[in-house]
Amino acid sequence: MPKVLVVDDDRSIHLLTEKALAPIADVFTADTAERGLALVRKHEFDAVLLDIVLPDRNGLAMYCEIREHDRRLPVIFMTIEATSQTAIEAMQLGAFDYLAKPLSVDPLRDLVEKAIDQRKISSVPVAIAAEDDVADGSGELFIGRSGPMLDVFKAIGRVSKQDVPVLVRGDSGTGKELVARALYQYSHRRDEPFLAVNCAALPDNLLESELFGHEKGAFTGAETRRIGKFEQCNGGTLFLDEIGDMAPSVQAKVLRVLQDQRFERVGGNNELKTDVRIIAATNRPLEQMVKDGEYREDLLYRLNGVTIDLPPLRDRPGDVPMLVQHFLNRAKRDLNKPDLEGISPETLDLLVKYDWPGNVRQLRAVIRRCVLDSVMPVIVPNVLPNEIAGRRSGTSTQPAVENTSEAAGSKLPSLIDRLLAEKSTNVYAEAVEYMERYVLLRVLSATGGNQSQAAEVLGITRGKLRDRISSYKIVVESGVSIKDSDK
Amino acid sequence: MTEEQKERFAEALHRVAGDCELLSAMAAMVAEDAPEVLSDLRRYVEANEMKDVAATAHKLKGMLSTFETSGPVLDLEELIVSAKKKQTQDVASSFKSLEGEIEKLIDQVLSLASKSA
Repeated sequence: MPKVLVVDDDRSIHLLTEKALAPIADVFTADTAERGLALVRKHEFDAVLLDIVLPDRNGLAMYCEIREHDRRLPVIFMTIEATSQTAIEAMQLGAFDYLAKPLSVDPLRDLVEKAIDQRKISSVPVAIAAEDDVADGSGELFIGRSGPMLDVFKAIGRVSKQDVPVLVRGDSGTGKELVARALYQYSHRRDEPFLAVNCAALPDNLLESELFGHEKGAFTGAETRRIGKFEQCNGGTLFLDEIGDMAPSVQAKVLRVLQDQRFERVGGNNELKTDVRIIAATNRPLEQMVKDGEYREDLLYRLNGVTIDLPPLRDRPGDVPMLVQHFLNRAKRDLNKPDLEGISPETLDLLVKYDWPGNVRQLRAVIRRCVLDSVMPVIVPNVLPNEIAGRRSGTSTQPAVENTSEAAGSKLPSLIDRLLAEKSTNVYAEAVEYMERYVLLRVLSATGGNQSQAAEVLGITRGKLRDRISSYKIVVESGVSIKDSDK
Repeated sequence: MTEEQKERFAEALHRVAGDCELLSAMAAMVAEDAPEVLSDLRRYVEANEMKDVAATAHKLKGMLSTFETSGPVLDLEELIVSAKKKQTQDVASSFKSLEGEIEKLIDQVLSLASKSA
């Protein structure tokens, strides 16, 4: 039978807890911190119920002493003020939970049962230990010893010093920009600029100006001359992300740079010369787009002279433990969780078995969220998101882009608040993803599912729209309704 | 426990999952302990010992909240806040207006206890 210690100077609370917890635990009681600590030293408890105000000591002080004795012992505070500063402070210190007085039998029993379960499952040796000594580094997504990743490393080594364009292909979240940065860092151009442009993030006319610059008066609002990325990056490396999302006019200009290293600013007549190495990336089927007439064949062949394919995480499950270790160490440091010991074998097993549609980026977000949510030193399966833990529904981690209806757009502020609270380093991408998905759903709904009209309203190509629909798994039921296939 | 008491302490009874015996047993303990705590509180108020006033009022509030969460129990919070701010006059007047209500509640708890077994 599990053992629970109750420390409170009100003997009616002793009686209540003894009676309420009798079916699930042996209850020991103490009316002072001193007596409670003596019992903690003598017995092996599975949970502690601790009053915040005790006659001989503050409950928080006693809590710290319990932690010194046994970090994995779940402590539930009891307080008459559920919103008091002390209760908040207790949670910040790492308490398992707190209960507001007056106590109610059923919630009390449920919570203590949960604490006992946590104690049990976190008492196993950790499968992966979170380490304190973490070196900074930018190559975090290049962790892996699997065959496909070794091929990536070898390809980077082979082509980094060759002054040729490289096309990096891979699903979202696989680390395409990191490959581009590695190619740059190991190239002869490493002391020159490295600039990155996301071709999908800008409307076509702005993208053209961003890349090639514009002359004063080239278009409404062009009040001064602007130098584009191809000029700024002269001598360096330009990373063109989402290269499949360029309008034909921009494709033609990029092709010319690839062929001759020459271009003109928008609205300009002077031919300019530049010396830029282009590294491009995409997760779109460029060959199919060529067949559909949406992408220039000559540009594709210029770009894919050298191609590096990044494998999805599901194809290299053997790398998951190493990645988990890395992200765990980082989260422990970033989120200031010195008591974090590691991850349980059962949790690791679930992480390895999951197919990770969002790839390494998703794994990183999940680990950070688990570290943030876990009140115990060991991360156990019940803090994993439902889809990973195999639960149908529940209250665990929310995905960054929620699978909700169009009304979900109103949740952007709370999403950003949450990401900031989690100290996310991916706020921009996650917020843009959320916003983009909402915009698509809203416009498709307004056009009754007509994709041609929606593309026109959105000001993007039909190909780009189809790609986004596919990326966000939106199911379009033409003329009737729009629904989310994830639901 | 009489029907009238069941109605009077319906919320408290609900919290103990309808266990009249448990509530009566708790009442017996609180009815025995609370008068002494109230007496301590009175003494600390008269002596202007604000730190002890706050701690004792907190203890009394915790004990009585098992049976009642509004009225004088809720008002004890005001007294605790005043004591923490060392507002002796406010504490004295709060206690004066609360004392009778608290004694009344303790009597009700005592009668709940005496109906047990």
